[in-house]
Amino acid sequence: MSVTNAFKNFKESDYGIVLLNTLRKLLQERITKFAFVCLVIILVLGTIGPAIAPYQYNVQHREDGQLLRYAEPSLDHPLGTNDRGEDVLSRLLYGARTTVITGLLAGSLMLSIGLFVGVTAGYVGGRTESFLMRFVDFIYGIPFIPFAIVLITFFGAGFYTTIAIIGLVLWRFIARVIRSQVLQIKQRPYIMAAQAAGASTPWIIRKHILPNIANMAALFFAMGVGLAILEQAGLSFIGVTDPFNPTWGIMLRNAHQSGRVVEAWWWSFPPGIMISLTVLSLYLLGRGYEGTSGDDEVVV
Amino acid sequence: MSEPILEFEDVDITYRTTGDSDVHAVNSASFAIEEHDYFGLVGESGCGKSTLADSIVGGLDDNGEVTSGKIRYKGEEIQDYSESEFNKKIRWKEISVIPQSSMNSLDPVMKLSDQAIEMAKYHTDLTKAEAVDRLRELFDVVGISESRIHDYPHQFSGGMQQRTIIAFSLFLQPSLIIADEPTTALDVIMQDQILDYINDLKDDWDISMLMITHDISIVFENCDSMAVMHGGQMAETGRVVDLFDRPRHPYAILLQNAFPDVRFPDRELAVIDGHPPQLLDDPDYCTFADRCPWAVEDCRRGAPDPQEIEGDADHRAWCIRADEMEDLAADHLAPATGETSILEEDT
Amino acid sequence: MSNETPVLELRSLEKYFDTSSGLFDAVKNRILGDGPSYVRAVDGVNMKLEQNQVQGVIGESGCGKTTLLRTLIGLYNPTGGELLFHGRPVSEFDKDEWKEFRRHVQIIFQDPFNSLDPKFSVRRTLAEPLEIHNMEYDDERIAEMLESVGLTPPEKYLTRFPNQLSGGEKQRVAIARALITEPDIILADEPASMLDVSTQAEILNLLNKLTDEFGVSMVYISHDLSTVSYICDTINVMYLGRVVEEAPTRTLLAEPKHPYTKALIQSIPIPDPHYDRKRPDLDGEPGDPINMPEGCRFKNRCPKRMDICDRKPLDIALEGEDDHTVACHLYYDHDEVEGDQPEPTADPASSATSAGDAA
Repeated sequence: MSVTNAFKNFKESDYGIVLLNTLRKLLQERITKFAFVCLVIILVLGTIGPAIAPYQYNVQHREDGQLLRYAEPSLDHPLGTNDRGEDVLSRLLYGARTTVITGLLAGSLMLSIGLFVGVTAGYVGGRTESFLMRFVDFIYGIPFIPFAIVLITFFGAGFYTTIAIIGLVLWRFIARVIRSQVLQIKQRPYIMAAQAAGASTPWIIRKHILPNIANMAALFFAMGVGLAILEQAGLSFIGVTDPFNPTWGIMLRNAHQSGRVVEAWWWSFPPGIMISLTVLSLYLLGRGYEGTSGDDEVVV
Repeated sequence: MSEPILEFEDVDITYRTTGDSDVHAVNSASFAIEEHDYFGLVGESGCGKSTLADSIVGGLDDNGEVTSGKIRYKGEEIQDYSESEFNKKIRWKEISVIPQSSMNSLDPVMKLSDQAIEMAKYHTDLTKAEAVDRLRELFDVVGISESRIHDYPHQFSGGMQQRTIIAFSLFLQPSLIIADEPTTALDVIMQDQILDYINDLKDDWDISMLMITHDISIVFENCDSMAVMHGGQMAETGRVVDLFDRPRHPYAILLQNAFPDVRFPDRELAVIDGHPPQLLDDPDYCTFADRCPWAVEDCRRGAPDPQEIEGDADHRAWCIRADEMEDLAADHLAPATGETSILEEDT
Repeated sequence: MSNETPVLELRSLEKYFDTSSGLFDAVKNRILGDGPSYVRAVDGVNMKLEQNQVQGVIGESGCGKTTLLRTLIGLYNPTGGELLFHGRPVSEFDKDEWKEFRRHVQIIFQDPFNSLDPKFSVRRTLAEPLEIHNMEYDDERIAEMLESVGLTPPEKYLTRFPNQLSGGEKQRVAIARALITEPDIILADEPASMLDVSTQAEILNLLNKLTDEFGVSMVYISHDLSTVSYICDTINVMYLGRVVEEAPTRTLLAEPKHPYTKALIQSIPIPDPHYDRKRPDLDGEPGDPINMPEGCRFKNRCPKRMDICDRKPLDIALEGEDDHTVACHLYYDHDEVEGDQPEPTADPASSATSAGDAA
């Protein structure tokens, strides 16, 4: 009861109204709707994937005592098996979870750092801004892949290490864009009205700046998630992540290394398609969301 | 009476939208600008006055279209002209435009003299030297030092940019100039100077002008004829003096009374309740009916037809109660009686 | 607070901006021995805002009226002079007093399309100042406020967002936001200039009504004398950072003294085709605030320029009219007035030969 009440209250609050309106507008366009559905499916797979997978991802299947290698898709193994006799579909479903975790964790990390740096630099200005933006420039100077390889050599190839590295380096583009957005919003009269009314800086950032860059932040969160998934696949592919964690990138790497990418298409294609589909959906959704930011439009 | 230089006859302009309903920006607009006449077009933002101006030079947005009616320029129908026909026959040569924001209409990275040469190259067979000479003359006309023709636009202040635009609009000696809110962005002293230059053009250059503005006092001071628009429909058109002395459309009456007059600071300003309509459906009613204090049931039954106002030439009001207005709006029509101007020169 | 002390008083208030930006200019100035170059946006402005009075500030763009407004509200620190609130200089305010000051001084902006946060509903927009100042409120109070600015029925507006309001409605919300903390002073920055004529009248009438009803004082800034005359008791004409003339509205319109004020009034178009307006004979562009002339700042455009105009004119009250002051050499006898010294920077040779040399 209290949950429904809370939900009802939220629906009638300002944030609720804004959120619902945005969602409604977002889902007007067919292509964004498609992207949205895709992402929901991937998210669901990420959550319950391992539960609905037909097998454990690392069980080596045998037939007549022989390892069942490169088995074509069949009823037992809808996506066939790989070079070690493991079920591809199960690995794909387990991979969905690692992908979702990577995307969300690394994406959130990127967004938090990017937002913090961008908003601080944009709103505070002056020396703080110069210092922060020079720092961003410095981070921009880091070549990602070599840097990641070096760090992983230091800290060991862990799944979460990879996520941390992605998050700690790739926030840079978010910081830049958010800063310029904040600079614009800072000039709006409603900010000055709040200042004149006596609002403190944290108040203004919390109540006025953040809600007004929310659209932009959401877009860049989506792009960040996509980028993190791509980079993670890349790192997996060149072999600098935890090789025992079945990500889609690792699957591609294994297929590539076995030299049977073309013959065992059921093994190499699905993870590739899933990566592309996820990232594409994220970008499409981000675009669509950006398009709904017409809240500011003037109705005379 | 000679043939009008520009004539609108029942012109409808519609913008197609991706949504359900199109925007009917202008509905059966009819008016005529006589040769050598300054014509003022007044209305609130969104009333369709800028759309109307755009249609004359083929400047409507891609989704906008003249759906019916006729626009005649010197007797020739131009409403269906193609882009290239507008370029070849109309723009600059016959009709030029002084836009509201001069900042955007001058190329910021090109010297003004080069912009003149460019224009001469496309539209005339003047040589480069002749083109620069002509610009020099025109700068003299609008009161800018000739030595500045080789400057860049950003080196000029707002008022000078606006004057530069006027100079350019005269470059090909057009017969008609459309001035779209030519002074809105300017301070009052600068506005006065610009209008002074615009006024001088009339005799020196033998041109007609369509002046679009929301400021009725500018029209009263500078124009010979005028039209008032509201919500995509014409409200009233006629000689400026007739419209001032005997306004017969409720909107025209209220608009005049809403305007502050510095001579009478104690006068109560009229308020027009409500908002301009959205124009989303084809208006088969008077778009002012919802805001009009004298509206009757019939006002919503059909778009009003123009009523000739007796005794005045070419004075028409698009109001079904136009002939009753004198009585209905009696207390709005004579606000100035008994008041004396407080200004120095008047006393 | 007694009624004799003005609510707000400006004593030769100054706000200069340093135009030398960054390290390079600073070093250059140091080497060349120049001081930093200043834009004197507000230069010695005096004004007394009494209880329930409406003071107008008129001037062209670039005259410093917006800077003045921002200084008044405490967004800029004045570089000189004093700003007194109920007789107390704001430079002595501590943090709590500043907050109190901000509650009592509210602002209405020119641009209604950008002065409301698009993510705030009307209810939240009005609640925000109350929350900032920890004032008790309920929806009732907000609804009452909406009603008094003419947004009825208030329930219809509470949950609306700015993009669902027309320009006039937005400006009403902005006015309601300014009034809800029960301020003493409202600073209005051309609140009607971006609205349509019919709405403009509405907003002016509303402001007139509300300043009476709520007993607030107002500083009304505008470039348009014709609308200001409807709302202000007193008008200050500002030119390049200085007030050149101050008088009650009617006096100023009927008997303008300063050549600039005369030009301003003569430039206003009159909505009457029968009226033959005398256009002002005034040359040149509005002054450039970066390279201002010494002495009288209007001298280069002035049709009545004299030699003595190279000296800074004093603010002199006209004889027999205490409330009408003019800063123009035409209106006082330089032999009688004390303290009329040439500006130190002015060329001594020119002032020595000038007509009414006081020395």
